Amino acid sequence: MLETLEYFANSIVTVLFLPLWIILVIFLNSSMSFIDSKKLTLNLSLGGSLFSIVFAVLCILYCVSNPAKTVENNVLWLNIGTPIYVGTFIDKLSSIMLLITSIFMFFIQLFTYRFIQDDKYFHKFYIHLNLLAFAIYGLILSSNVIQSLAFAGLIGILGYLLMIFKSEEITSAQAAKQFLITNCFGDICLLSGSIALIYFSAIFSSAQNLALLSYSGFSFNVDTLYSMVSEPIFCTITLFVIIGLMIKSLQFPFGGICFKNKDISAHYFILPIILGSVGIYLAYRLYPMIIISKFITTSIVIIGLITAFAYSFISMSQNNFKKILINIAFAQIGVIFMSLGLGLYSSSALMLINLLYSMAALLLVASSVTQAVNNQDDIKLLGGLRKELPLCSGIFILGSLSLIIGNNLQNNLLAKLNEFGNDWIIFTYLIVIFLLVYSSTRMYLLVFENEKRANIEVKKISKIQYSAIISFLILAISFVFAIGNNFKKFVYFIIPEKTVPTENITIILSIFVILCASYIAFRLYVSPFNLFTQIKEKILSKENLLYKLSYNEFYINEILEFIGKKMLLPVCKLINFIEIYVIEMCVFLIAQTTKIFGTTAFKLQNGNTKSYLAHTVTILTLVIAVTVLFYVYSSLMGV
Amino acid sequence: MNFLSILFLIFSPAIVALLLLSPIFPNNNIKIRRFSKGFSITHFIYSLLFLLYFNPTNLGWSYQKELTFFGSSWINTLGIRANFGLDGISLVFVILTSFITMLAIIAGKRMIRTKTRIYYPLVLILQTAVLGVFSAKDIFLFLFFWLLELIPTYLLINQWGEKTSKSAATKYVICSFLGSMFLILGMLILYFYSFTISGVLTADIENLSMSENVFAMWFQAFIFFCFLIGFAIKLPIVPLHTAQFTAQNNSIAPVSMLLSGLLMNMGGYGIIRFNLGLFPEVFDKFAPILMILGGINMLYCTTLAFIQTDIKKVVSLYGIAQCGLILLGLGAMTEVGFEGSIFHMISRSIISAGLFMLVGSIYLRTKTTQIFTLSGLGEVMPICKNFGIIITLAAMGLPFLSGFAANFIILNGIILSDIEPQGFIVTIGAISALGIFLSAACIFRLFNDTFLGSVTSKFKKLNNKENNIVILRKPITKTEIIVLASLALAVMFLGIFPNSILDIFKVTTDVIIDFMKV
Repeated sequence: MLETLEYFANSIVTVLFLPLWIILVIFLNSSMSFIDSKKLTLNLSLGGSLFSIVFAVLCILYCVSNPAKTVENNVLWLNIGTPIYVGTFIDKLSSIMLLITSIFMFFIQLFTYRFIQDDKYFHKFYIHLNLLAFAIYGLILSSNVIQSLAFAGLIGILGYLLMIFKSEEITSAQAAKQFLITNCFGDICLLSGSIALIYFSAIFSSAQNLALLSYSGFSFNVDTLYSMVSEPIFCTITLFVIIGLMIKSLQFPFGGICFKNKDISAHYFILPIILGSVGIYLAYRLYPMIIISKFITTSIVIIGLITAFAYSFISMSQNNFKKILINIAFAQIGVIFMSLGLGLYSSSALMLINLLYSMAALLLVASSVTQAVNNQDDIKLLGGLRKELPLCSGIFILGSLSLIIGNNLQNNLLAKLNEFGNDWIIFTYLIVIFLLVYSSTRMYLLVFENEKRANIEVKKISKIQYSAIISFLILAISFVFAIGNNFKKFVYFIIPEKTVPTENITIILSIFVILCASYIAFRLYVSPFNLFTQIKEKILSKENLLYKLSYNEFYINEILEFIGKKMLLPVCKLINFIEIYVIEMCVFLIAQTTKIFGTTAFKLQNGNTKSYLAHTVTILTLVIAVTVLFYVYSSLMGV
Repeated sequence: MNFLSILFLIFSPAIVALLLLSPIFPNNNIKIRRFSKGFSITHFIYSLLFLLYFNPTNLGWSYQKELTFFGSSWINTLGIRANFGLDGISLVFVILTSFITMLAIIAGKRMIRTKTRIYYPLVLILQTAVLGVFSAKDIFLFLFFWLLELIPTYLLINQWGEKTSKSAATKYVICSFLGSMFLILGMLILYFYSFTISGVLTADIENLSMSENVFAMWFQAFIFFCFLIGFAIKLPIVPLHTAQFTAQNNSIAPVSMLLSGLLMNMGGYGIIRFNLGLFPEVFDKFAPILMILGGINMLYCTTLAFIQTDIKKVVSLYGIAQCGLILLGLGAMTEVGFEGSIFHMISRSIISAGLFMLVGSIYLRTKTTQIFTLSGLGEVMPICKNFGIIITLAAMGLPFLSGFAANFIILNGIILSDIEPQGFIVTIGAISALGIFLSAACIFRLFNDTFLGSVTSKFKKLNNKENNIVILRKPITKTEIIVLASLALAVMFLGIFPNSILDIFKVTTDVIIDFMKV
């Protein structure tokens, strides 16, 4: 039995390359007009995901039966002095993440079919999804840091391609440009960090410097390097990695770069969650590096907390149903990042899985609701939908609860925050919880409660949409309540996570904050307390500084504009000036001088012998005169 | 293996060119084009056979052959011989030359509408000249082909370019010739001083060397810089880039592909073969200066590219900026950096050729290269956009494409450098990373502003079937698909299997670096 499981674990590369074969078949299917079957495309994609699920389960079984063992298969990619290998690496973290993402991809492929079946880009969309599956599986199964970075880069490219899926919109093009450039900057930071690791390992040990980046023994190698270099150097290297991770996991203010386009259908909104999760997964893989120094862990906690605070704050000012949800998702990614800094390796993995499923369910609710109300997604114009869409409203409450309970009220998280011993951090975290609950409640109340604020006809939601939402919700809740407790025993701990006894006061405080937030939201948004709403709207009016601060594009646009216009543009202008007025001018002057000499020489060549004689006499006279003058001058000086 | 003749490989394009120009060949544009295309494809396959039978572990030259004239050497009395041969480095450049020339000939179908009878022969003569440069084993033979290249290049820029192409061609030839004067000076000094030491008149690259024990360092440095100036105009290195830059801007797309894809490599190859191979001690001393020049090249050209409004200028500045990275890799004085530089030359050539092809396709349909007038072309030229994505992403150095492998190897080479102080290397590494990021940003801006967004109303007509102008009716032609697909496949192949190329010249580079260290 064990041998069979090992055989499957060794053959995991099939899972990686299967999406590529599926893409080929879809491409042929779409190219040949006599086949062109959409069902074939769908079934192939689903089959690929099911195949991955089966393999992931087998890998998990192998890891359970062989807890201390990992499976690694490599081939040579590049030989530059020391060889760089690419291959697959199976440990418990990768096998469980493979399972989670396979299930996620399966449901995405299944449920987006209905939304996109009449679209002319149907096959293209499924090709994108399969490419995304390839890139995600590649990242999960990577055997070393360089390979992971390559696949993370590929996911960034696919994100960009998904953003320019329909490239007609100028805003979409601009947003995509910002996204890819920022993403590229993140890649360079991560690559620089990795190369710096190689550099310092090359200084201290002449051989095997690239083997350092392999995941088998990564923790040990990083520890060894840390003991050899001074802390400031190590922290500088890690800071590069942290900046890269910040961009990749869409920490503040980088979250805004991936959802600026006007087209806000469901698949665009799945993208930021996937991208954020990719960044967090990379952080898991580089965990030994980021957990080693107190300075770095504190930085991560602060970055995560700022992200959580900023995006929960931003979500308050939004009126678009899906944008509020995305900001909440970014805030939760910030919380997960923070928990990594607190040393909660497995709890944060659980939080990530919960976020993936809960957010998928909530976004599908949002999509279904907006479809039902004729694509109206301004929550100010909605209202009273609970009676017409009761299942949606119920699922929305359950999804939000699963997210808050599963992520924000994690026992270990609250305990570690206490242990961290900084009152400001606990206080800020409580504000985050308050803002998240407030935003969720406000959104629920404005969409589902009160009376209708606009005359919109509500269509029925199909069973397939409901089944999609419910599937994700069940997965989310089951992860929170059923698997949650056993999960910690299951995941491979690079650094074992101790269960810290939670102080009841923090839990009580958190629950109190949640109740307060819900109460205030009720007071503000349920009639007859419209006076409060008006006050609140006044505070968040567009002219107000508070509105600007709570407007996501403000940060990223200001930063990019500052870098582009204030820093880069003057340098470009200066260089252009040098190019035109110095370099080109030199060439011009040389050419002109040559021309003058040429013209003069031409004029001298008039064919008249007397003229030549005259020129010769003139030149000779000049030479003699200069010589005589020089002689006289030197004689006088000598005297 | 006997059927592989290096002389046939080098001279067959020139012979075919003469045949095409001769009165015996029918004066029919289609026949000329098809014959040239057929020949260039055959030539490329033939060059691949050289790779197939090449032994990468061979330390010296392979396929050596001397061209004799009635049994005697070229200029026998002066010890100058027409000796050809290929090692790992020259072989990859020979194949690349054959590949890019083939694509330039294929691309000519749509882009060269006038004077077809002389376009194809000129390209083939240029191919012979470039192949001669890469396979010459004698310095004067090298110089002969180096100067021979100027004639077809001048005519190619002059005859099919824009309004200012005539002055650009003159500028290119004069500047190149000025550089060649330095080259000739360096070669003559090297040749005669080598004779004074050994007493043997020879111009064979293998037998020429300058040792610190015999010649003073300043004297060696003088000859070294004579060579460097000659090659710097071709590579190019800022501030000697202006001729190459103007020539690329004012040429038609296939010619720009040749300029950027072939001729710029000649400069890099020259630095490796002469500056590095013949003056290892001087190179070792001046390596930091080369790295500084490389850094300036990158930052100068990328910042200049940001402010350009002409997409052709952006592409040519991108190519020149990437040459800075090549210098950085060479200056690192490590095997990894050296291999990375050669790999980058190959990768950059293919990417630049692809970008020029894209620009050519756009110009053919829109009659403009001004970035502000172009927008949303992806809507009317969707296939072009898809190829554009692959080539642009490769230019940006993103994973699974050739640019990533090239950048990665060079950056590794830089940080593993032994040059003191270490702070210098760290600074250069940071500059390289910044340069890579900026060049990625500027090339990406080009793609984004050209292909994405909403298309302007006058360009919507590109898809209009009722349009009377045949050439504008199609968003892309089969010829363009073949050229762009070949380039896209090449960048993908190099990105996924970089070792397949590195293995070819690894032994040769190791020998050169070992020689330097000794």
